Amino acid sequence: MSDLDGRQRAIARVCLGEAPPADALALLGGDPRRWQVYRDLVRTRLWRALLEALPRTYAAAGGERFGGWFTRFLDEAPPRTRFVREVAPAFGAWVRAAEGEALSRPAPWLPEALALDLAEHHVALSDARLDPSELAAFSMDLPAALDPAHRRVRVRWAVEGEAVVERPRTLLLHRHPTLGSVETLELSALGADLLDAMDDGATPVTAAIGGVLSRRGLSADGAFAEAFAGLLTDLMEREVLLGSFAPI
Amino acid sequence: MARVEGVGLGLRAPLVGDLMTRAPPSLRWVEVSPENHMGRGGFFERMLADARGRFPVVTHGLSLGLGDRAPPDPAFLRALRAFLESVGTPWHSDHLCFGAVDGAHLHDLLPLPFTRESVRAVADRVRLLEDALGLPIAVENISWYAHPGDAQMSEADFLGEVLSRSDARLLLDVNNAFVNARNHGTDARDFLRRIPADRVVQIHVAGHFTGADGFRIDTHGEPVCAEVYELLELALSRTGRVPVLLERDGGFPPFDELAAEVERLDAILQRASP
Ligand SMILES: [Fe+2]
Repeated sequence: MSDLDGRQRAIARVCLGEAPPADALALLGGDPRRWQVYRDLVRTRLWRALLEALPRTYAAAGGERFGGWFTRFLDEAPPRTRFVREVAPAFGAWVRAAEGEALSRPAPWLPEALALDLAEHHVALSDARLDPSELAAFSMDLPAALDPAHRRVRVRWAVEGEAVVERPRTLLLHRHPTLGSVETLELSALGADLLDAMDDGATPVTAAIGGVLSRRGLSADGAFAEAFAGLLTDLMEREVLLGSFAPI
Repeated sequence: MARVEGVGLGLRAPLVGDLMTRAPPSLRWVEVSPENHMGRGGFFERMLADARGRFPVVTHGLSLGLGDRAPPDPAFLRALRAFLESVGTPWHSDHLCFGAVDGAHLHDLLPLPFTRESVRAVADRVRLLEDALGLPIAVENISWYAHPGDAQMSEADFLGEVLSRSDARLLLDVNNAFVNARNHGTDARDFLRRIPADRVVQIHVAGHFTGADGFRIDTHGEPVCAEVYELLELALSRTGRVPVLLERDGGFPPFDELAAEVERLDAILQRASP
């Protein structure tokens, strides 16, 4: 190990370790308070990035538990990405792996708080897009083309004022077409099933909805047709439904 | 490639609305950090597109790690090169520091020891990066708060050695020069007199935070202080008129205050010899 390597590793250990190691501080020399400045700068930047991306997770876990994860994450599995925005997904994956089943105790809504935070983070930042040459005007006889940056998240719990109540539903998160902000649409159970069936990029819309209706023992009556047309219009206005995939 | 001259401002999300609608006439260009935009859709993508429609862009990196030990990631360099070409930057700058160790990214500007080994490491990497990116690299002097281990030379000599052993240009940050001088009891004027002025392609000015104990941290979150304006004059008297960038990353004041700082910088710049 070269001298330069040794000094760099010592700084990394001071900044990322559970506590600044005495041998690293000794190797670096000088006033330990100044190395604490670096430790604070590194940790504050990452902490802020996590709090900004994972507010529901922080609220559900509480500061002490979240802070404990942060300390262990930096010590055991520090970020391996150069992009600050990718630190929250890496942290989320680490938390899921480290906690396993215990993540849903004592607050059973914690795993979905994390899932929702990460979905929102993804939707805000994603550069996934369809190639315009793949797209055609919407047709019921072709597969639907949905914006690949949107996310649908099935959740069981809802925050209502101070309380968390059980209210299963599916949330569709997408970017506002002009503002770029993340918008949330609550889907009915039927609407969520229909979108799941339509979003495989291969099944024509008519076949996709036929399958869902027959599984649910429903028929495509006038009321259904009207409600479905309303859903499609809403999704087109939100630019979640971009048209159909053109036949090859 | 658009000509970059005069005063620029760092492109930041809280500033973009004002920047697009009521930028002062003396604001001539914007500085963009590729890491904030690469592979990112939504608001940041549109912000960059809007800014490019209105201003020339100069890029300023956050993660090249000029003093990092691991070889640069080829996939990242390819993506970065494509980004730099797409915005038409005349050069790409990054910091004279390291940021990643054994694959872990610390997301900060960490201090290199002023040693011959560091000089060689940085100079080699600059040459490699210039080849990979197809553009001149400008290295920026950072604010450093502690020196790791023993130094073999002064900061000014370290910077000079890096420049003499590589083809790098210099992005001179006068606020960093001031912060370092105050924190370490040296003379910022002496530092500015000793750097190779003919290599300077761009200057940074910014504000910084002063703690209760007088120790200063380079936050880019405060107004530019009087001493830094004076140092800028001294720097420009040596470099001639080079593009000057105002860095503001936090504690955003009403836009008129930033516009006034831009105007003041422009007045100083116009007094410098061409
Ligand atoms: Fe700077």
